[in-house]
Amino acid sequence: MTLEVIIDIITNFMTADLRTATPIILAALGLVYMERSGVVNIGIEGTMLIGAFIASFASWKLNNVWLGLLIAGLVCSFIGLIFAFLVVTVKADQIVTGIAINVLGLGITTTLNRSLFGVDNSLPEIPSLKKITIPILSKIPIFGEVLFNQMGLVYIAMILVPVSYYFLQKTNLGLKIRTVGEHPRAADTSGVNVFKIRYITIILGSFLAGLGGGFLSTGILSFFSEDMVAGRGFIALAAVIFGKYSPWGVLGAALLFGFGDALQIRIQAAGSNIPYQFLMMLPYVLTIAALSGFVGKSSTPAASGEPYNKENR
Amino acid sequence: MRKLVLIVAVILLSISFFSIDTFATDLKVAMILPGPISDHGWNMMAYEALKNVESELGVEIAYNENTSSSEYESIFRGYSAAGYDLVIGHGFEFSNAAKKVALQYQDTKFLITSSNITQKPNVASFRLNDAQSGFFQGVIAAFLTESNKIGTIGGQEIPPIINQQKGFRAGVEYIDSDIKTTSTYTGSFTDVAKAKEMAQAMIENNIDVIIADADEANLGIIEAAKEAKDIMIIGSSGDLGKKSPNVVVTSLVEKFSKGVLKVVKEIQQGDFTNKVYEIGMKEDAITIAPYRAFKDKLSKEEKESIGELVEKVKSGKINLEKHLEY
Repeated sequence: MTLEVIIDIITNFMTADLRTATPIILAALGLVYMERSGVVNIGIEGTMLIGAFIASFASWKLNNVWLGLLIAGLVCSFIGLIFAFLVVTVKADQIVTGIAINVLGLGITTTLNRSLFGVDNSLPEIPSLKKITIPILSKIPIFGEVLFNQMGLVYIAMILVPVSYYFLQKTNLGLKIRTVGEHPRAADTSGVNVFKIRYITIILGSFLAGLGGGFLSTGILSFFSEDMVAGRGFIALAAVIFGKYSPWGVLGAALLFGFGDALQIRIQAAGSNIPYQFLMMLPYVLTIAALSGFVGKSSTPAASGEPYNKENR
Repeated sequence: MRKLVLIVAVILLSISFFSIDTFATDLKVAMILPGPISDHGWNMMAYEALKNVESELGVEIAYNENTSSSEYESIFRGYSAAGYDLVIGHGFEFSNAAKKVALQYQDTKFLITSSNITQKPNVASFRLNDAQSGFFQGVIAAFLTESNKIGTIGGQEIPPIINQQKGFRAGVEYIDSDIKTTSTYTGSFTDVAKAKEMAQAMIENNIDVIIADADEANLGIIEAAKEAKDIMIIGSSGDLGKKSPNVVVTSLVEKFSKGVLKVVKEIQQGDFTNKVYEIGMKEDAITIAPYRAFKDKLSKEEKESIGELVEKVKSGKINLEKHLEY
């Protein structure tokens, strides 16, 4: 095994890791906004699925993948609006409403997919994301290829991490969001509109979830397939907890999970005798190990999951 | 006046109850599917079998897709109570629920596919000889490979796929025992992204022929092959090459229609028994799809060998029974 071959393997591996982690990073960032304001959105899986479908369909109809992704984000924002209305204004149970969104997502995307493309889907040519190579920087050995030779949405996801950190920690609006999640009554008495803040985070978070789902159907693959999110929304939920509700933490968690997943796939493909069931456990085991060993106590926002009621004392 | 209206209403209602009965002369066949009918594989072939029986024999059909295991029993009961003559559970996982409900509804016939479980007097099974499909996947892959490395990507390790894998290994060894085979599972029949990653990892490992056995997720494998060069795919269950003739060489098509048709005909003739119907190449239930763009990839001698092997399997000269695990 020459050094070149080893470098090649490592580069391919890390590129795959970042690429497959991107939908989770985007969805998890969306969740961070929502969770920090005290909203638990289990419906992220359904939202991502709707994003995946709309991105593929809109990209096809408008013949432009970025427009398709934008529309996917907007449609998912609308789904977020519905969710926000139900959990913030109507004060319905957040978990139950989230599950309803998941069922809605699977049902509506399957139905629309079959009626628009037919049960025997003949896949048309759908414009998809292409790799954008950043000159000079991509020439750096290993990291240049991994970090600067990816599809556009991957760069956006990477940039959104420090941006989100700065936004949540250093801006006024970020402070308001965090207060609403920790102590909504205190925020309310100091003049912050708790409901408005939660509406904002839910709509924004759902937009990002839509992008995450859209990346699956226009980036990693170039078509929509029923139930293609396959549980990644739930992985994103876990990533938020493992990442201690912070953007950088969430990036780390998503990359760790992607690392485990990319590793187990490669071990299988290389022809190992280890039963595949154990290999499939690898990403989950890794994340649990990291959580118990290195991550320490996770700090859930104090008001997480509870609707804010002005009358309650 | 009110009394009159009431009497008329009751009479009309009773008449409508009687009229329901008089329309039940056609055979009614229902099918319960574990997955979606759009998966180009396991469930789609069964759905097509159901539609086939409807058009060929004029029976009334109904189906349930994406059924979760907690609902099996209640759905079997529902169809039996609604007077269906035959309820088909698509997959061995339905056998327990079927056996239970069959005891209560002795007039309804139950058929489990891909299994060998029966129960007197009304539960039968039929199974396709998956080992035969696997065998030919192995033989054709062995002829096609130039890197001498073949891979299979499966969804989950369930009995039909296990049997197919055993047949596959036998097929590869029959042609050339030096070829290295790698079997992998993604754990999901719907996760297209994972299947694509698996295929890409295999391609990085110099595997040039991949057997796609993950139903809907096969689309991911096909896309990985399209993005690489000179990778050949062989499909299972459905004819994968129809939509992607440039990367799919052929598929081992498993036509459930033959089996379902046979059973329904027997019911119509009153011959149904609780036995295991074995269907394979002999009944043309397993066929090799046309090679399309890869017509010239196999040499004339290779094609003749394949033809000979098909005849031997059909006539029973080559017996793959030992590879059927259950």
